[in-house]
Amino acid sequence: MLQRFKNWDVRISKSYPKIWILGVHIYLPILTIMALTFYAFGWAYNITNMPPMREVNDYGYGLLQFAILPMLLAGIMYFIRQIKFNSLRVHHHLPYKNPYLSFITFVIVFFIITATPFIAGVGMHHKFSKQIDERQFIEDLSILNKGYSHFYQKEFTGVVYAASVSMVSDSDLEVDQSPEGKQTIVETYRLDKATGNLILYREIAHSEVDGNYIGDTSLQCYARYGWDTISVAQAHQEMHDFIDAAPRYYGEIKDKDVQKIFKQHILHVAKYRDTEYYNSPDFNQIGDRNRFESTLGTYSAVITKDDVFIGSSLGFWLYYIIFSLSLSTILFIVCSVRIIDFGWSMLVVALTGMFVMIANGLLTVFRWLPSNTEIQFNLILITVLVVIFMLLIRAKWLRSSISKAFTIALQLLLPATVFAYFGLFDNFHDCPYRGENWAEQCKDFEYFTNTDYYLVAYGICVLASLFGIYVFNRIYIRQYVHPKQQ
Amino acid sequence: MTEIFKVENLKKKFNRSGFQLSVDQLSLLAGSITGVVGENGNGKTTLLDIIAGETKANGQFHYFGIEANSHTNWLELKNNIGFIPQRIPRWYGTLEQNLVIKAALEGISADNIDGELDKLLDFLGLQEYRKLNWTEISTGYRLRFELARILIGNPRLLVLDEPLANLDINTQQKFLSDLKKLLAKKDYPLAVILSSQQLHEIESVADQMLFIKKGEVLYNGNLANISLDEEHVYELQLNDRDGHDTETYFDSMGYKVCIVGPYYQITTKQSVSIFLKTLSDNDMEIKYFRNLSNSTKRFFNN
Repeated sequence: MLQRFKNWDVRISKSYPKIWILGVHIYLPILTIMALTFYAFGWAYNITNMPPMREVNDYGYGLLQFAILPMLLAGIMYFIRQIKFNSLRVHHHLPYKNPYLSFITFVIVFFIITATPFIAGVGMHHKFSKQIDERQFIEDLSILNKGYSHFYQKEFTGVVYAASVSMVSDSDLEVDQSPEGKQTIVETYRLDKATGNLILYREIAHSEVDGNYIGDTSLQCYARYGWDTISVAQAHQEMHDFIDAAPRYYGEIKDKDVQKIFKQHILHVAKYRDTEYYNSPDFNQIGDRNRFESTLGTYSAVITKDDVFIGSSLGFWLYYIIFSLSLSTILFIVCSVRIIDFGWSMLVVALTGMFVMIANGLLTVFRWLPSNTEIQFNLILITVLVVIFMLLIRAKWLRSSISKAFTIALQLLLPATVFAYFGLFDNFHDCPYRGENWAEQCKDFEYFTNTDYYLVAYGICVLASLFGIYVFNRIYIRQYVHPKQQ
Repeated sequence: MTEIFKVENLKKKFNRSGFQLSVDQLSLLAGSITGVVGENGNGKTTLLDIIAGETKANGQFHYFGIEANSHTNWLELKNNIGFIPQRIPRWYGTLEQNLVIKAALEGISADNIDGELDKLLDFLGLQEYRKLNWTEISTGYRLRFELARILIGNPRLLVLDEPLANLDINTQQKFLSDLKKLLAKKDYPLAVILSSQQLHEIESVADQMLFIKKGEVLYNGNLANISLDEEHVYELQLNDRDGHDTETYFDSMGYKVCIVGPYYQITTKQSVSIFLKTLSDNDMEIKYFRNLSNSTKRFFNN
């Protein structure tokens, strides 16, 4: 077996020397086997009965933690192999002549290495997806969100601001006349005496899967709370619907007499509205509420590809690839320069960071700048530092080792600088992208949708890395291959 | 003969030490070996570093007939320069593996690599060591393996800095004869320049010698042209002569005498045969003798 591997290794070195130097022929098969093993571990999870989310998390995160050690080992070993067979001190190193081949190979290898811990989650997700009826769940979700408020209310009182809510006119409401604002304490589940309608506090705002459902970001399983007013008949219907749907998610209802439950709840809330929070008994009609909620959590996580299933989300990988881009950039630099110069550059990076922090600290302590201008100041500072670095790189009077250290440091700091500028853009626009948290604050969404915003950030990162390779590869060749000024 | 490398008005000054190397003109021809000699710290390594494109210097440089300037693609140019520095960087993996990779990168097809390597390793006498690692071979073999690796790339200019240092006398001679054979064997233009302290060994193979002293080239040309004057220089060591002052004797004979360590260096117009006969007639027992008339060694004591 070993001999076979050696023969194959020799064959690769003769036919595809660059592949051999980059270690692709060894690492890709090993990493693929490793990834498939973890995928199989994920797939092996028993879901005959849909498990609650906490159990799913225990299993998934356990595997993730277990995969971190092999990931670290594989990453370190790949680094060492590249230093041994592909660094500047080795005669056949590739980065100067094949910068993009080297860099992209590093990105692929590091991507697979760093992705391994999440592969188990992908295996789990595939298995769960087969078991879960997504359409059914989406249909049930609206019913469950509406109906849930009739079967469980933990808090019996809510606060209503006098100015904004018409229901304050009810005579039996207490009005808080505190200087902070006129607040009204009301029951969270009560009948409106004037109209006979049910007023309840529940998840309403986006309690349904909205029209923009795209599978991973817009599904609002547990959305914001709000006051809702419905007729009693509507309430009864919601309860019926809930009783039908909930058992599919282990939400067995103890008592299925809708009218009886409804009356009980009204009385229950009225009785306990003045009770201290911790002393009030739950308003709960669900057999095993934790199991029910946790099962919904599992469904939600599977459909939104969240939590332990995040590995199945394309969006996650778009951001996560930045990790492998960073590692690849570092390895590319290590392979392109002398290790001693890289060491000096680390010192430059650390001192630069320290200088920026000290400058910020002094500004904060002595308040030299008007408030809210720190970002602008830092961007100017970073720009000045970049210009100084560039001048030092070109300075003929500087020792070449120092100039090399500044070059490497600049390549390392370049992505941070680009992001800082992107941050400035972000900061100058309150709502650069559309996101649920900004919904009420932003009237005009500028430039991007939420997804586009991150795609732009991701694109900037990829382009900055490739641009860095293009520019700095030339600089390193000039510094290390061209005749040097001794 | 094809001119592989040429430099004119080479000047390199080190600001800190104040040392300056200057070479008016140097030309390396295809098929020739050029030896660079001189005392330590006189600029040999600097000169070779400059020729190998490692160190920047002022002057007009021509590599393979093309002038090197700020637009030169040194990455490409250096593909044609095989430089072996004094300290050879270590290899990782087996020696054979490294040579295979180099051959494959040079575009030799997978089917031909073994054959090409066999030929090269046979030529350099390295066949039995090919499976070993860098740490398992001696300095001499490391040098030869490095030479083998460089030769796979078919360089047109070989720059070897002190290749004979740390080699025993047999290995030195083997290495130099390999070089000579290599030049005869190569079917493309190749020039070799090497520095060394082993004057006699270098001179035995060099077509051109460069003697550098304190950064200045004192001699640059064929060995045959060194003794243009009629004076000959001999280096010798005699057995002890009880009660006789050898130096006074040499003076009385009209020889110019210089004592270099245990040796006398005699400058005279007498030819070798007459000089040796004179010594013999005066019952002098010669322990060691060398004719330096056509050797750069004569410059060392000036």
